[in-house]
Amino acid sequence: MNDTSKSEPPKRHHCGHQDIAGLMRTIFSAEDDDITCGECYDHIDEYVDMLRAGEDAATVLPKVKTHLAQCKCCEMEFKAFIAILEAEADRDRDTPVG
Amino acid sequence: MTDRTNEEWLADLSSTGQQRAQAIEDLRKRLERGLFFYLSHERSDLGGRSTEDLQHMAQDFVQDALIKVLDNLGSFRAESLFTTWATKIATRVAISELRRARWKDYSLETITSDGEVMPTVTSLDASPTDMPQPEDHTERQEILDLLDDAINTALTDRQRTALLAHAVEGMPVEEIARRMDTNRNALYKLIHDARIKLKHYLEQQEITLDYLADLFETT
Repeated sequence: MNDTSKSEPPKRHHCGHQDIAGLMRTIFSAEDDDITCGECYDHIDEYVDMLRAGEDAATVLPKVKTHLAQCKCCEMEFKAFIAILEAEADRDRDTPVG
Repeated sequence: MTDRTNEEWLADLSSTGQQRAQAIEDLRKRLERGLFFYLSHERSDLGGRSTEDLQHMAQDFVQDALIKVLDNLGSFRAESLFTTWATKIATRVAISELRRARWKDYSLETITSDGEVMPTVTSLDASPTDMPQPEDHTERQEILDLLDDAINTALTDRQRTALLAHAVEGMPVEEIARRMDTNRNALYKLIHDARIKLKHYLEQQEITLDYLADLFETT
């Protein structure tokens, strides 16, 4: 998902080969048992904590993993979420206690 | 910054007076640091903004997020760290606001305003370096015609608009949902059903993704 600039609003672009290929991939990657964005959001904090703890989140919450592979919006939010938590964890490690 | 357990976060945020105020302030600082990091390190599109601008943006997003966190304390199921849950909410608030701002001038009517759903091979091959061999040209046009036919006949108007806005134009589902007077879950389902319909349609025509990738990704 090109979730980019506030200052550069998107314009309808010239539809090229990659757009058609992307559309095809979107179509063919559809899974019958996908969950909604809301269901993914409900569990994504649990999923992320498991991942960061080195646990097998994909086995415990397989539908979250499937949805993240299907939904560019949720995937983008997931990556941002992870990046923020990792930065905070780095900070906590670097900050002396007391 | 204090290291509270989940129970301590909930107790402090549900209390009154200084105890609650301190917990809110601790959470605010943590979320602001996180969102400022995201805006300043992970959003290249905001690279032209000053540090002060980004700090103000982070503060505004966290203000909205804190309201949601406090209003929804009862829905926290303790299946994650409390701070992870709160960060989830703040991340969603920030990204949703950035999406809303970026797409605010974009209308769904532009998607099919030229009367075509799929481009023609000629328009696809606008770049001279993309010019295919004549046999590829014919084959690609046949596929585009087939896809155009599938999109026009198998999908409803709403499915067609939503799918093209999302999969071709890259518009976020929540932004499409807002314009179609629905919510993100229902919109995602609408697009999902459209994808499944087209997938089955193409499979019935014995068209595979590998074949399509070869045909459209070779230039």
